[in-house]
Amino acid sequence: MVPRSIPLDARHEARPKPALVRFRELFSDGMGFPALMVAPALLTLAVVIGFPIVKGLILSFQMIKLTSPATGGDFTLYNYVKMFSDKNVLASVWRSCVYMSGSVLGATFVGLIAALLTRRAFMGRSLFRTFFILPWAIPAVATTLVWGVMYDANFGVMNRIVQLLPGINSNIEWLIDRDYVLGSLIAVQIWGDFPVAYLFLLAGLQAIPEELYEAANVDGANGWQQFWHITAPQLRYIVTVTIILLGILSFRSFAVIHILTGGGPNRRTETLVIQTYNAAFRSFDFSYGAALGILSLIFSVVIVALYIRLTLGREMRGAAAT
Amino acid sequence: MRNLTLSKAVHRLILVATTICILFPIYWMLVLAFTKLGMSRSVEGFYPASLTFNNFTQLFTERPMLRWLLNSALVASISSALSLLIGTSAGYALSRLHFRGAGLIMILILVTQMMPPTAIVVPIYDLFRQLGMLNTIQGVTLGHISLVIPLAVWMTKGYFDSIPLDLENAARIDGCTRLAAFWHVALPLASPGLIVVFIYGFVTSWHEFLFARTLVSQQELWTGAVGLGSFRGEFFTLFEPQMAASVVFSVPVVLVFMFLQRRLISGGLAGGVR
Amino acid sequence: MKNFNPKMRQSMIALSALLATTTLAPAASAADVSIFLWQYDEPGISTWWRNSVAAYEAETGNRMVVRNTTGAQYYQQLVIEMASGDAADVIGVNTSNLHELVSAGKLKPLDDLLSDPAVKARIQSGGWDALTVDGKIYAVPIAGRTLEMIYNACYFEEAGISGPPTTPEEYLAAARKLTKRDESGNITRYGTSMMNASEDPTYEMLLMWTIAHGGRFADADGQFALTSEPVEKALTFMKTIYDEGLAPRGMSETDQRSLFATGKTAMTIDGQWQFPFVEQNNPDHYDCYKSASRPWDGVATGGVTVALALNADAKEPEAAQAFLELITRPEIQSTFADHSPFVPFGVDAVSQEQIASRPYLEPWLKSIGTAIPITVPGHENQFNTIWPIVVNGVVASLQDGVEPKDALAEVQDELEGCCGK
Repeated sequence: MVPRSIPLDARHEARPKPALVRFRELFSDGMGFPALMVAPALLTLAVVIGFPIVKGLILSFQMIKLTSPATGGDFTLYNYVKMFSDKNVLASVWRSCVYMSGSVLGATFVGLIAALLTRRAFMGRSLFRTFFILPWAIPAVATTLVWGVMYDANFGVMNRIVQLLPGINSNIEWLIDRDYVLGSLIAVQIWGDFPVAYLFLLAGLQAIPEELYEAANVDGANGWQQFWHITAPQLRYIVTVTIILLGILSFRSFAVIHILTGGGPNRRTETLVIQTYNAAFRSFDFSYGAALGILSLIFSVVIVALYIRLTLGREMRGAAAT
Repeated sequence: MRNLTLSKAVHRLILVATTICILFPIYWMLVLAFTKLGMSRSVEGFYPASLTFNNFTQLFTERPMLRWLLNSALVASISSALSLLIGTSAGYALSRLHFRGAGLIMILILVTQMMPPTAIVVPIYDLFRQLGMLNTIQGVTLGHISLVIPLAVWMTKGYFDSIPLDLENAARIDGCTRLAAFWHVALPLASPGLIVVFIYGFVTSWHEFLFARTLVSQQELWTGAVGLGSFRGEFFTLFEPQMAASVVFSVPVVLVFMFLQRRLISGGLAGGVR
Repeated sequence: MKNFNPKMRQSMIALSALLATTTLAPAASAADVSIFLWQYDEPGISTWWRNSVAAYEAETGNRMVVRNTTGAQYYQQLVIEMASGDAADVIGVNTSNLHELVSAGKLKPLDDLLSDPAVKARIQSGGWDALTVDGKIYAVPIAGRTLEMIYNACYFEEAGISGPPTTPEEYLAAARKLTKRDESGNITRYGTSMMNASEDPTYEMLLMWTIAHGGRFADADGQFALTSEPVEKALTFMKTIYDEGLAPRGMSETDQRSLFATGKTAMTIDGQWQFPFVEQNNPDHYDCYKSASRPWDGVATGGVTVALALNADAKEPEAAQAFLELITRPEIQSTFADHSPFVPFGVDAVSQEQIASRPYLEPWLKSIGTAIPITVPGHENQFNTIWPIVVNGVVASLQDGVEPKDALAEVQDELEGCCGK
């Protein structure tokens, strides 16, 4: 992706060839080796995750509830009918969307700021780089518990901090008040996830040739123009991958919500993943849990596919070489 | 020149402000780790009135913390190294080999990460039982590899895309095999991306809870993340010792990062550093 | 040195086990028996479990494979292992999940073991009764608990309250007097604990106050009665405590326990485990902590919390049963109270000396025989479906301002929808 013209030229060179030729090429000098290179990744994923997903799919068309003897493996659409007639499911999908968008935008933004701040050398840069990675270095189980103590309405330090601001002197119930609770959770998610964005974007920034900025300096471009015309386009692929990954992380996020609110108050923070967990491990209805899981899967695939189409249409088509 | 110092000052100001916001919860975690058991909601103001080291000494006298750390180190380093190897080779092939369905493969690789794990944890357990990998370090390692590969493929593909094919072709004209061209030309140029993938894999494995907990029922095979969870007992959460354990448990990650982040500088930038 | 003794004893037992297996190798080949427990590393009781396992291995020559999990993850892990047909031979259960495991056909009745009346006579009949489903006994009770009053007598004295409350009204009045605020109105000490987070202890909280107001969650025929007057009174009572800020809001059960143990809350209704914890972690104020009977006339909630059952598909059913037999023996039962503040179910298993060393146990010893399980009568095998619905209703009313009457009407609707008869 660096100098835009070169990879495109490379793609021209790799025009698709007739199937037989390509098949033969797989085992000749050029192509056999790349095909072998993809195999381990695909095999591992197919066995460890793909296989359980297929089993989950089958499960979702059965009625397997551990704690109920009147269940069985016959084909049924029961779980899907139940799912689409449950008003809580639609609400959860919407909450998942809000939670995901808020977390992704926030984490990408903070990560980008942090990456830009520590991009060039200065005294103590490696120290600051380590600081920015710290929230990620500690397991979410533990950091979430710290946030829980900080958010405590009476004894928590968060209220002491905001009460330093003028005009606020009553305690805010961060995890109960309907106006705050979702935002409080998103803040924790952002704090825990932004180092991922930071790391990727930092690596992405390193790939941008310094000469481009030097040339822009000569042309008299200011910092904002440089960011907009050099940094942003060059980071496009990395930002896309980062956003997809953060989206998946926050969509699947379980620990933060489960530990801090358990989906409450009054289901206000019950996302699709929390609902899936409750179906599978509070009611032990594995089939319904699997159906909700399939819903999450389809939902994520649609969003990611749309997103990739919007941002990386050219690259992906290039890779597909159609 | 004035302009330059002003922008420098603004840079430092934003840097310090951001850092304070980001570090505060960690500072607070440290405060709690040095607080007496049960007293974390009694800390008033912004710093502790008294400190205790008990929580830290207890970790090593009353719990197999060292064992957990070693397990984590073993699982995290093997799984991140293997993920990097597997992911890089796939990423390279997908970048260089343009075959029908490559885009689909990219998407499918990603799709494996989109199913909420709690929905398929029973099939996963069943699978590892059939593979005979329950209660083994290998089982947990394999599970973690499957979590890191997709990102590894996507990241490295992006990096290889950005390296001109001409460079490799030139090397091949000079008599290198494809493997040698990959090894001597493409790999070094993509190294910042590879380091990031390694760090990501290491940290992901270090923290992973579901595989590590579900697939292992013997305490001596627990990883640190599962050990941390065990501070929540049946009636009381030993919160402050848990914080101390978290602090200790994050040290290796910080060390790995500090060691590797120096290499997060590409050749292109190094020359331009002021 | 105190720490070394159990370990030394353990290794002695292990050594004798080794000798026993090598010299008197039994004719039958030794088996690997698996056991699934969530307390194997819980301080105190862990020693008792380890000793029992060592004694079993020494006697039978079998090897006991312990599958170890934490209290928080126990049931989820058990269900995963059961669902893939890989559960342990001996399984730890409690009265909240026993019925659903039995109705799913996962447990084997203890007919064989109890065909010997001598074995049955070792355990109090009340313990067996709690683990009986449709006339068959499914598990050996290990320990029980109820919830009783625990209060900070120093705070009571300071607030001028003469003794522990005995009625809900007195309890509320005491909570009001005991709650302390600073000049800006923020709370510095809570009057009482009250579970109100989205977790199952909140269910039991509502049940306790319902009993205190003379009701239950279902009538004698198993019809849900969530809209009955006692339940509504109970939720209104809880809402008063919540709205007036007399108890921590939205805080988890374990956090509220720590708060009480460190003197940030004046009273609670909880189990005996508070005392060893306070003794160890707040020794300066240990003398302030006193126990008393629950502040109502009705029964207490609780019963058997730890019991051992046999997997219906056990790989080593006979060897597993042998462990259950061993665990009922007087010499094993009588050591239980040395390690744990829980009440064991062995006949005369707690000696006068053991009681004397834990004087605070009195209210629990009195109520353990009469306590009722927290499951809904007639719906015992649906507990894990029912409690989240009830808790949602309680949380909606407390945290989200829904009127108790409306919240309970919705709970009743949902319960009739999912589990009605």
